[in-house]
Parts: sequence; C-alpha cells; structure tokens
Amino acid sequence: MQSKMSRRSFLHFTGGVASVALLAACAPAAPGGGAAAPSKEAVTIRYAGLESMGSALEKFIKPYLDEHGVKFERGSFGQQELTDKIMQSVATDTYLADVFQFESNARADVIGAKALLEVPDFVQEKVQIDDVLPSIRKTLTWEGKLFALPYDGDIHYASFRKDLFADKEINDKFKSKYGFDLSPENGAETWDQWRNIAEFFTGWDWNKDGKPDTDFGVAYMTKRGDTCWWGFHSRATAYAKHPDDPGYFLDTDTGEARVNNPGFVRALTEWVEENNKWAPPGGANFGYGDSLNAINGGRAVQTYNWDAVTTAASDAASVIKGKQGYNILPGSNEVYNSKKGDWETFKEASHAPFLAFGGWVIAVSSKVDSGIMTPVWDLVTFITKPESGLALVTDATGASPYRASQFKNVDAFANGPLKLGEEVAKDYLDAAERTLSHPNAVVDLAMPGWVQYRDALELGVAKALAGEAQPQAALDEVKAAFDQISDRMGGLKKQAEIYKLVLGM
Amino acid sequence: MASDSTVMVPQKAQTRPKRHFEFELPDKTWRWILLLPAVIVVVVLLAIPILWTLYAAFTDLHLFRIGVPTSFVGLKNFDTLLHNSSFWRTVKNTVIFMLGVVPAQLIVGMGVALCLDNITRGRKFFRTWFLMPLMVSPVVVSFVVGRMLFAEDIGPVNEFLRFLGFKGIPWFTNSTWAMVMLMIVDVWQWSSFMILMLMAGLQGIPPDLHEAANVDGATAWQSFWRITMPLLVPILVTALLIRIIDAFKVVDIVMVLTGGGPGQATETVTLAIYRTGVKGGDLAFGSSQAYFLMIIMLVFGGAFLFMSRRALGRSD
Amino acid sequence: MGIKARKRLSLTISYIVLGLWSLILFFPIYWVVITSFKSQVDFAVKSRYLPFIDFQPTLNAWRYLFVERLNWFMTPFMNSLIVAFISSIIALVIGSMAGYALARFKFGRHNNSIVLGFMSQRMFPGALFILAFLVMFRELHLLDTRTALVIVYASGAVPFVVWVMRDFFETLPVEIEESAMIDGASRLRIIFRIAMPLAAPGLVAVFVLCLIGAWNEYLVALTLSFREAITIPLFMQMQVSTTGYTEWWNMSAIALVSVVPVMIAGMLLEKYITGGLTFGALKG
Repeated sequence: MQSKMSRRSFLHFTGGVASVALLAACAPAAPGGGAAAPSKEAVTIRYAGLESMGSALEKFIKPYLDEHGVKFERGSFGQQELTDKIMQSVATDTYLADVFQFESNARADVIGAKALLEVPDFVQEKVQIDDVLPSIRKTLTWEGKLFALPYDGDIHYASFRKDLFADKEINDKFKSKYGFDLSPENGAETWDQWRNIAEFFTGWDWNKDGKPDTDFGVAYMTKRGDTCWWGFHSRATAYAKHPDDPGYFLDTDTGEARVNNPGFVRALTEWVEENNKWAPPGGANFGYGDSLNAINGGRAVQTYNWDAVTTAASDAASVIKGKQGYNILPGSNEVYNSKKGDWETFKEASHAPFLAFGGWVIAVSSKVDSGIMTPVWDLVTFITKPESGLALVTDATGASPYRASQFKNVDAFANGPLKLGEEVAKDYLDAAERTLSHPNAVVDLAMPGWVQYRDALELGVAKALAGEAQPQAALDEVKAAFDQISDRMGGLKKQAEIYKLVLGM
Repeated sequence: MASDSTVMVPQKAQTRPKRHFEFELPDKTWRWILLLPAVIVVVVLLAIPILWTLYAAFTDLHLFRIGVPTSFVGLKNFDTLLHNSSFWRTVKNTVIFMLGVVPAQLIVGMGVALCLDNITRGRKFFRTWFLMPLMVSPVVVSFVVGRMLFAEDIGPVNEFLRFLGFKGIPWFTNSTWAMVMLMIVDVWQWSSFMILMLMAGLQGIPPDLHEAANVDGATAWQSFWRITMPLLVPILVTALLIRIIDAFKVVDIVMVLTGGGPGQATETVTLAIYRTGVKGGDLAFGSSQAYFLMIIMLVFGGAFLFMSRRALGRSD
Repeated sequence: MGIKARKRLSLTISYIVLGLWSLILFFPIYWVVITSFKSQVDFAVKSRYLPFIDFQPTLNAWRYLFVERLNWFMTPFMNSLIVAFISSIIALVIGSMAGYALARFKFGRHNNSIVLGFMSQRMFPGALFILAFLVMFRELHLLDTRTALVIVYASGAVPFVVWVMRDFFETLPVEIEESAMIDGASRLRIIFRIAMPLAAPGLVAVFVLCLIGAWNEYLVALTLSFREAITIPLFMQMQVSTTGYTEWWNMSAIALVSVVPVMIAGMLLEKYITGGLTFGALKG
C-alpha cells in the first residue's frame, strides 16, 4: 500500500507545480513531495458515478455522512463518459475513485484488470446478498467471486397505452382490421401484434390535440452512441434466442458472432420499417430521452425502456400518468435456430426478455487507500443494504428493483415517493420480476472488448436505419467486425469460453 | 506590426535587417543553448509519439486485452483498413467536409475582407469583432450555435425558416443536412481566420497600384483580378493550406454536435480513431487509421501546393 | 455613374456585408446570453427571443453555478486556468529562445529547414498523438494530472512560437544589440534586457494565442484526463445529462463564464493577436 499512497499524494503534488522539469523527474519511484501525513480528522471518500444518479445518491446518504464524519467527493459523469473513463483508468492503472458506479457490462474488463476488491464476507452478509435475484447476482460475480454490489436492476420491459387499448370504440375498429382484441392487461403478446398495433395507431388523432400527424404507434431508442445497442437487441432476442441454445450473441462453441443470422436480419428489417413508418419524425435517431419524451408526451403508444414507469409517473414530464400498462417484451412464434440453421415454429409464443444493461453496480477500487478501507466498506454497505436499496428504487433516482424483498413490497412503490398507485405498481413489478426470472432471458454481452462490440453493432444498425445499407449487408459487416474484435481480444475460442462464463455455464 | 495598418508585407524583403553577424566563440555555444530546449521538447513529444504510433500500427496492441501478449502482425491492420467500408466512409466524410468548408470560408473571407479593405470608418471595430469566433472554444460553439440554434423543433433557425414559409430542416436526422450543419458551424467559427489573413494581405498592396489602374480606366472587376489577386496569391495559398489541414483534423464539433450521426453520415476519421483507439482500446487499429489520415493529408496538401505553385508560375 | 456615386455605392454595399456578417456572428452570442436567463418553461412550445417581452428572465442558472455548485465548477475552471497559463509560459520561454537563436545565428545553412521542421508538426493530425500519449503518460503515471496536459500543450505550442518569434526577431533592428555588445553586455543580458523587451508585442501575441489554444483544446484533454484534471471544454461536454434532457440554461451560463474572459482578452489585444495570427503566414 505504501507505494500507492505515495503515488496518490504525488499526483496531488505534481498537479499544482507542473513543469517540464518534472517530466525528467517523474520516474515511477518519485517520492511524494511534501504531502506527508494525511489528515486523520475527516475521512474523505471519493466516488465516481453518473451525474443524475449521483446527485440523488448524495442526497440520500447525506445524513449518514454527517453522522460518521465522512467527506464525500463526488465526481460526476455523463453516461458515455463514465464508462469510457472507468475503462481507461482501469486499463491504464490510474486512480479514479475509491468507490465507483459502473455498468455491469464492463465487468469482464474491469474485474479482469484486477481493478476491484472482492466483496468481503461480512459485507455480503450485511447487505443480504442472498436476497438479490440470481440474474442480478450474476452481473456482480466473476468466476464465482463477488466483486460488486447491486444498485439498479436494469431490464427492458414493454409499455403501452392501456387506456387506449381499453377503449371499446378503438378496439372495435382495431379488431375489424386485424382480427384480434387489443389487450389492456398484456399489450402485444408477439412482435407481429406489436407491429399491427404500431401501424394502427399511426396517423389519426388518438391523442386529441387536433392534429393527426402527431400520433404514432411506436418510439424506440435508436441513436448510435446513446442506447441503440439495447434498443435493437430487445427487439431481436425473441427471434434470435432459441430456448434450447444458451448462446445469443455468439456461438458458445465456436465463438463466432451470430449477428447476421436470419433472426437478427428479420429483427433489423422490421425495426427499420417500424422506425420509418410508425415512429415520430426523427425516430430513427432517437436517444433514450427522446423516445421517453415521445411516449410521455402522448405522441406514441408503445415502447420498451428501463424507466418508462417512473418517468410516466412524473407530473412535470408526463401527460400519461396512470394510463400505461406494462409487460415483458413481446415474443415470437417463429424463432431462428442457429444450430439447425432454420426457423422453428412455436405454438406458444417464445419470449426471450433482454436483461438490457444488467444494471449499474457499485464497486470498491483496488486502489483504495488502506487507511480508509473500513469507512469505504461501511459506506458501500450503507448504500446497498436492503433498507437503502428499497428507498433508492422507490424514489425517482433512476434505479430499478433487484431484490426479492423489493418485488414483494408493492406498497412501497404504490404509495412511496414515486406514487405509482397500486395498479401500476403491481403491473410493473410483475413485468420486471418475470423478466428477471425468465428462463429464456438474454444476459447482456459482458465480455472483454464490450465497448467495441457495442460500437460495431450500433454503427451497422445506424447505417441500416439511415437507409445507407440493407439490413443483411449492414449486419454482415457487423459480424465481420465482431469476429475481428474477438480475434483481437485473444481469439474466438477464448471469447467463447468467456461468453460461457458470462452466461454462468 | 505595431502600426494599425498591420504587418510588414511585400516590401519586407528590402527592409529586413542582416540575418546575423560575427560573434565570438561563446555564441557558438549560445545558439545551441537557445535552440536545443525547443528541439528536445519537440523531438521528445512529437517524434516519439509519431514513431510509437508507427510501431503500434504493425502490432495487435490493445489497451483492454488482458493476459494475451502483443505480437507483430505486419500489414494486417492496413489490410483490414483498406477493406473496411466503414473506414472509407469516414474518409469520404472528412474529404466532403473539407471540400465544403474551405471554399465557403474562402468566399466569405474574401468578400468580407474586400469590404473591410474598402471602408475606413469602423474598420477597427469590425476587425476586433471578427476576431471573436476564434476565441470561442469549439465545444461552446457546437453547443450554442449547433445544439441550440439548430434544434429541430424549437430552434431559432428552423423557426426562422418556418416564418419564411419553408419547412423546418431535419438538421440532426438527415444525413446531408447534418453534414451541412457541421459545415455552417465551422464556417461560422473559422471564416474569421480567412478574413484576417486576407485583410492583412490586402493592406499590404500599395494603394497607388489601384489608383494607377483607375486612371487607366480599369473597372473594379479588372483591377481585382489583375492587381489584387496576383498579389494576394501567396498569402491565400498559406491560408488555404492551413484551413485544409485543419479541416482534415476536425473532431470536436463533430463529437459534440452529431456524434458522427445520423448513422455514420458525419463521422470523421479523427472521430473514428478516437472511437477505435481510446474508447474501444484498439490502439493498433487506431494507429493504422491515424497513419492513413496523415497520408491522405499529405496527398491533399501536396496536391494543393503543387497546383498552386503551377498556378502561381503561370500568373507570374 | 460618376466616380463619387460609384464610391458611395461600393461603400454602402461594404457596410451592408460587414453588418450582416457581424450580425451572424452576434446572434449566437446573444442567444447564449439570454438562454442563461431562461428556465425550463421557456423551452416548452417555441423559442423565446426577447427578455421581459416574451419571457421572464430568471437568475436560476447563475445561482446554480455560483451558489449551489461553485466548488464543482471551480475544479475544471482552475484546471483550465493553471494548465493554460503554465503551458503557455513554458512554450513562450522555450519557443522564443529558439526563435531568437534562429533569427540571430546561423546553423550551417539550415535555419529555414529547422523552422520548417518545427512547423511540420502542424501537418500531423492530432489523432496521431493521442494514442501514443495515452500509453506514454500511463507509463509515466501522469494520466489524469494537470502535468500531463501542461506538457502536451506546451510542446504543442512550441513550434508555433518558434515560427512567429523568429520572424519577429528578424524584423527587429540588429544594430541595437550590436551596440550593446560593443558596450560589453553579455549575450544573456542582450537577450533578456534588450531583445525580449523589444519583442514584447510579439510575445504578448503568441502568449495569448497559446493561452486560447490551451484553454479551448478538447481532444487531448478528453483522452488524458478522467476526473481530477478535466478542463472546461470537457466539463461542458459532460453536462449533457444522461436523461437526454439538457439543461440549456445552466450550459449557457457555464459557456459564458468559460468564453468571456478569453474573448475580452483577445479583443482587447486585437492588434497583437491579428499580427500573431497572420505574421508568419505573410512570408508566403
């Protein structure tokens, strides 16, 4: 620890008195200058996290900090920067913070670089790790060891305007056209139904603002560099994830990318069509926020998102409070079987909900100063223990439920700070829990090189959305890029092994 | 250069003082003491990175890879690069951007500089004001000029267009318009550079040349092409070269304004390098892209210089 | 048309063109100023253009910046300030020394080649450096420090300083230095007591230009700083919140605070800056 200490104080020291002369003097063993004894009075814990979630968190832990005399220095980042900076600091062995929030998709990279401390048993016990749903626990562990603590159970679930679906007049019109009833309880059961609904609700004035050209069937997150990765995969899993085949992104035996198989191509082809025909103008380049705006502003009927329920409940940003129904992502009667190389028909629609993102997790850096180890773990315990977790997921913090006990506590969601109301809370929790415990749920691609895989896919999808490439050609390119990245990261075989680890096989 | 009429232009050659004079021995040492720090700094911090990048371009160096050693891969990166349509798209975007902004800046710069040269009252005011965009950080420009003014729904630009009876332009969602928007932002910021350069050039042209032409009955048009232009060519070439090079390097406004989108419509090579190398951690592939960009810049810069030399030779 | 009328016409056209371009340059600045006094409601339906007339200005953004989150904002602001000043001073000292040497001494017949060598740096794309810098400063354990940025910015500005200052020293009459030499002044004395003061206008110009360059630089700062050493442009980029709702009013206030100091400094020193910008280029 000695060397780490001196390096940190060295950084502080040099920051101030920068000069070129230092370049010569900055051999790794450079001593820590005059910054000798660190002050014993107040412990300072440095945190790195999202600006939006961080400010809510800071407010929440304020009483704790005051009580324990801990100073909390919060570095705040945008979503993109946070991942970038964590990845870079980890790869370059640079101190970023004592405690940080990171996306669990980066766990292979971050844990592999030995940037995190393993969670000690006493902490695991205090935060009651067994209460955390197994699918979320998977995102915290690597090779059987727990390296992070849960903060947010991110998943994609479908949301739709149940008030419109329950309208008899609308339903009659819909049924006469498509031959089945709109279901205010479940929304679309399959993507085919979803598409029918999208088509039906586009171009007539159901939102009653006097203009028929502000009404659309769907809104998606499609923007490259924003959340396109999750927007696309949530749409594709039902076609491309076969219940008998554990792999989705890659073939678990060969490590070859599957992104250009007919399942994915069908998803992209349909997605492009939906975005062009039934989404609001600019829908093919919508960020996460844009798609929510369209839904909450009453301009689109269906979407899937992480935060549809909480943002719809906000009085300031939403005109659809209480009008939205929730369900797991639609399924499909046809699923592509990569092993057989052919489509398979299912009588009951096969669902493959996407555990998009896997959530933000909280971890302790291995660069933490040995002197503050105890207060750091205490703070992390405080943030993630069941009572705090419940308070955070039932407030407008952007965090979603992840514990069995949270899903049982409908009342906290219905009447807590979010004020979802009994009906919405039940509906939402049910959708979320079914997604998280679904046997055919798709785990996100938490692999070394994840940032590059993501960028490659988003590039291909964006090209298809912009009409610059046909879906098949775009995905062929993505496949080539994926295999190239796998090759770069140590070979397809090696990546296949790691993918199995990610899937928990 | 302390006088208002700026800088010493053509006559300089005659008035320039002797380059050096005889010193005693210590000066031989002095000149090295004075020069070497700069040389060392530049060599260490420019040459080493350049060489290191060259080395990296021939390996499979990866920032995020753990437990697999780095090895030489020969020309593989360049081979992949040449067959990568996404990369070629970024090259195309960069060239289009350059071909869009440089002539636009030349036209704006020339027009404004001529007008500035024509007036006397208020010249200092305008010159000072025109300096302003060069002081503003490109990130701020992108946010303000770009993100706010070009906002599709309630941005002033689209509101103005609708006021005139046109439809709002999809600045961020249409591939072509997104590129046009980037160009407008760049022209807004960097035309000033052209104005100042050309202005300085115009100020250096002796007024009696124009007067003589006037007496001879030349029209303004004729005197512009026969007198002004030829004398302006050297500074024009320099200014254009600088702008061409800078246009090839564009990245900050793209990153902030469009992030390369929609699709890949506005992704420039430098942005792609940042994405691959820094964000994605693939240092090797990023390095090969960087070298490719340099080659393209050398080709374009060289071609431009060659052509302007020939044009110059003819006009002499 | 008489000469007088023609002259008047061309003057009118000139003023119209200049006025128009001034206006185009002015509007965005005006926009950011009024936006910093807006609040969320002013973004709801349509743009608001005139304070007090079509929207009620508030000080929310300014309060947010200077009262609520002052500390949080001061870190990047001070980083930018320190990095810009120190790197510019270093570049100025090293660069003007070399500029002087190249103006006053002969290095074989290679003076021009040396200057060209320095200037060739401009031909290299920044992207060529950032990857190497990332690895280099990792090895030096200097990532995310102001030191790293100072080193990069200073070394990046040196060639420009050499280029401009060499030209500048060449325009200074050598006779003054010669007579001082005859009076027995040492070379050091000549440089620092005679040449440098005479070159002050040039030094001011390049200094301010280096300062602006470092203050506004984005790509290198983005690559080399993570948290501790972030500068103003990075900080601004990070303000686009993850929710997709951008707080334009806060952004505008930050933008103004970061832009106004350099803008004023630059415009006050207009004469020098224009000179510095156009100086070397005029050699053709």
